[in-house]
Amino acid sequence: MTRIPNIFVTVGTQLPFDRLIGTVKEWHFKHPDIEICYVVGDTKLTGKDFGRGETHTRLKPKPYDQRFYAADLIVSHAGMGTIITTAEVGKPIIIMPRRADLGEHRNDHQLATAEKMAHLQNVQRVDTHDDLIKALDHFVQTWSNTDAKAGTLGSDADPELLAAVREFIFESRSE
Amino acid sequence: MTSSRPPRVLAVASGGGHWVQLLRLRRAFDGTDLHYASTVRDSARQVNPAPFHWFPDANRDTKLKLVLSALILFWIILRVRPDVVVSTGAAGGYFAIRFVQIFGGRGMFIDSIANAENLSKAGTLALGKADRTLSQWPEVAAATGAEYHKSVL
Repeated sequence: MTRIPNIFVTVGTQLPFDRLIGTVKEWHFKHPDIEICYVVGDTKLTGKDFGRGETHTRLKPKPYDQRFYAADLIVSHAGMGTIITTAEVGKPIIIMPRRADLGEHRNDHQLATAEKMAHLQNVQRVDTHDDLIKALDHFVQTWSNTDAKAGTLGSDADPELLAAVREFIFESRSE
Repeated sequence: MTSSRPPRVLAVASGGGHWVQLLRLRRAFDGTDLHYASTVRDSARQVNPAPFHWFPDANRDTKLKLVLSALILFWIILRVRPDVVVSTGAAGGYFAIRFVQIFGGRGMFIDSIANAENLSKAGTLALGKADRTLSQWPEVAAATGAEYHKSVL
């Protein structure tokens, strides 16, 4: 028996990202059977753009985690927290980097983050409205209710970094 | 210094991506007297039973909150009196490192993996001030003089 996938959309806690939210909301109108939960921040979107889906300005960690881990797909800005958390559990994620020239962030570091993180097995990077629509269509067409996981990252930093931190903490004691 | 007690460590990060990166360092803190400080009160449950200290989130766009954040971190340092501060950013981690140094402690600043092309503002400030400043990208480390010891991934 196939179940309909559900999607969790988040733009982090600091700044709104209406280009992302608006695109997913637009797509949602053509796919009303799909359950999508949105965490939108201080959005300027109103009216028809907001017609569908459970939508929160912010969510407390507990309800946030509940919806996050229950989702079959995450759609997010290119924030490292969300990317790392999905990679730890092998959950598929579509990331759209914020652009400073559109007033979406203070600088363009998310473009670099997105480029560097796109190699993770669970990560797909999109840049435009059309690419995001295509990626969502593709997800729904290829999604199967198998709970197959993309490769997971585990929960620890690289051993070399752990060793460097540990050495620093204990260094004065071995002198 | 004799090693009769384990080193007291204050692990500091802002909420969100900085915090997620800090948690990936947990194994490095084994055997220490560990305290955490972050900007999301609810994060305490992720590190329970380690003591958790809250400070307000701030960035360079909110000067007044930045000052408040610094004051509260100074208070946390006074109360905890850590031997070592380890931070994955951002501004709060830089403050905590500067404050612990006043009391003879040491600080390591690990710039967020999100900064793949330049050090962050806090990372740039930490460079030369913190006892150790690391970038998680070799190109950034090479260009800035930060150290590189791989990443949280």
